[in-house]
Amino acid sequence: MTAATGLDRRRFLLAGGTAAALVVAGVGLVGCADDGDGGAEDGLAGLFGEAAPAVAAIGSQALADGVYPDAGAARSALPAAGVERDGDRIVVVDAAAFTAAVQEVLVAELADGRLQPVAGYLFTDTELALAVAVADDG
Amino acid sequence: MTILDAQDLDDGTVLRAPVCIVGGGAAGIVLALELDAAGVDCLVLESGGREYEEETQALYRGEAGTYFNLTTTRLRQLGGTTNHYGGQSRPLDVLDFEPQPWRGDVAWPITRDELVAELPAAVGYLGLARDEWAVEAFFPDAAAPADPDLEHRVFQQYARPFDDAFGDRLEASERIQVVLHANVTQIRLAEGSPAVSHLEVRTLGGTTLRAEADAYVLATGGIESPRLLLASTADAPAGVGNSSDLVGRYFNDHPTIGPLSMVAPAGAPGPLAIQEEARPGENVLVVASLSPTVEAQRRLELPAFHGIVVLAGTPPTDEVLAAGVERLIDVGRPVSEQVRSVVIGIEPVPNRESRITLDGTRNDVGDLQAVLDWRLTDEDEATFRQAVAMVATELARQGVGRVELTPTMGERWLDQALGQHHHMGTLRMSASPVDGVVDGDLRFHDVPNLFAAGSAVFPTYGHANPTMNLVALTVRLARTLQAEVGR
Repeated sequence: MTAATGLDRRRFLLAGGTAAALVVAGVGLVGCADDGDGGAEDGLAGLFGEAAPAVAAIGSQALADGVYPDAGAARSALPAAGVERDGDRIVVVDAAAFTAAVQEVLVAELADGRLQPVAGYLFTDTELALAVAVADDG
Repeated sequence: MTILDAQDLDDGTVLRAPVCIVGGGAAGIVLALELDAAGVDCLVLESGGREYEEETQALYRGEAGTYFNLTTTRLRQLGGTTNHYGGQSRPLDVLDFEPQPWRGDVAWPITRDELVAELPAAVGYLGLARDEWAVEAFFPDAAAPADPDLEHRVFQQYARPFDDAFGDRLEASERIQVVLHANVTQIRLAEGSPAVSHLEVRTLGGTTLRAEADAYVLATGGIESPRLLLASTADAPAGVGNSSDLVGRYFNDHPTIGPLSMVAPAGAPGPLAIQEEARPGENVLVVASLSPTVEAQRRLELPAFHGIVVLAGTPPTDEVLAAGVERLIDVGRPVSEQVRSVVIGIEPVPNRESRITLDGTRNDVGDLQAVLDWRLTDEDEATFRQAVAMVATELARQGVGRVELTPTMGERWLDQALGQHHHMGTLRMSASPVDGVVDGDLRFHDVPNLFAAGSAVFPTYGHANPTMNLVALTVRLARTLQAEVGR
């Protein structure tokens, strides 16, 4: 496969023919919760649209690798801004606030160089906590 | 003089000059021009013509296993492999000249300063911007890598075919005699003496010639030079210059992995270590790699390496997974259309069993063909793994992107490694005849009037491209020869 066709295919997969994905590309996370492929619409999986299953796969691998002992530990490692806890679920009430809080933590983690390989890529602790929570959200 | 064609000479013609250079590639041409400037006459015997010729190129046939095809990894024509090389250049580094734990006691018998002294001339021959290699000289505003064990190292790149650049000077010279289509088939030793008496030369048409000189220089590259020596058994059963059984051993190239796919978020910053966006100095491309600091190399006992980001796209192994990675690492941002990859090159360790030998097959001028067995080691595997980890972490920390690590590489990453057509080590320099083939003056330890030019003499390899360094060594060799034939 050439690079160009690979990229085109990926774009196709990401676009997915859904209006929701176009909204993601244009204005960020607002509207992602309408994408029904990624789990319950108010859950963390909704943040990732059609990429949610891939994110969940990364999370499952992180659990298998022992990065977090369980999903609860991962959820506890996530920022509290913009989300509410509903038992074992995280409900996103303000996606912008939550993602801004995540980004802030990621910047600090990256500056510290705290990354570990999971599923063939390097991730920070918070990225993996997010992925584990998404896996559990599904 | 002019450029002669051996096919036009009478059978039995004897060619004579104070210095006879075998090979008209980068080293051979530079040596001839330097000798010309020093007032020393020389003969350059070049197997090819001034253009690519299938029949001549086929003389390079041989066996190379998983390495590149031996007929395509070099060019047999005036200008040699400069006719299709990329021209990436960087001086060998301080640690390349010193014994280091990761490569045993191997060291150069000359100092780095002796090489550095010749770099201005080498930069001129290669048409590079200037003899400056500090990152600040080209990227004054560049931030240092986040990892204190990494630094940026500058490469300059300019592709210059040497026949195009210097053919007119060769033709105009009163002291240089280039003879094309002249294949050296045997190095003959004087009876009762270790010295070379003459070279046997043959054209594809069957004309035989003889070349005589006071000093002879092999400048036919890191594969052909040892092949010719090993095949020259008329007066030395183990081959000329091979009394220590080291001719052809320690062959190496700079192993490279990549391009490794990278997930690059939208709006990710452009790293300094990126090829296509480097700043030009006239026609020269300047690239800054991510490489370990000298301090880190000493502390971690780590061979040199470099990581360079390229814009050429390499699709991820799993595109769905990569899409997930992109959204996860850049949560809240638009999907990216950037395509980036990273290439990692390392310094390999010397390996005696990585070598060139001969098989029983003869080519169209009767030469025994080369067999190349390039063997990388567990140490090289470890270097790759550490290099990829450090570069990938740095690029993630800079927000440039996340490198796909292992899915494409399997259990043994070296199985994915390619060379860079840098043929080194097969006539390596040493202070003692026990450890190498030529001495610090590039004179064969056991053949007093025979010299070698080219990256075949490198006892260590570093991570930098060899051409500029071999040109610098060749400029130095010219002074040795000037003194030699002027005695």
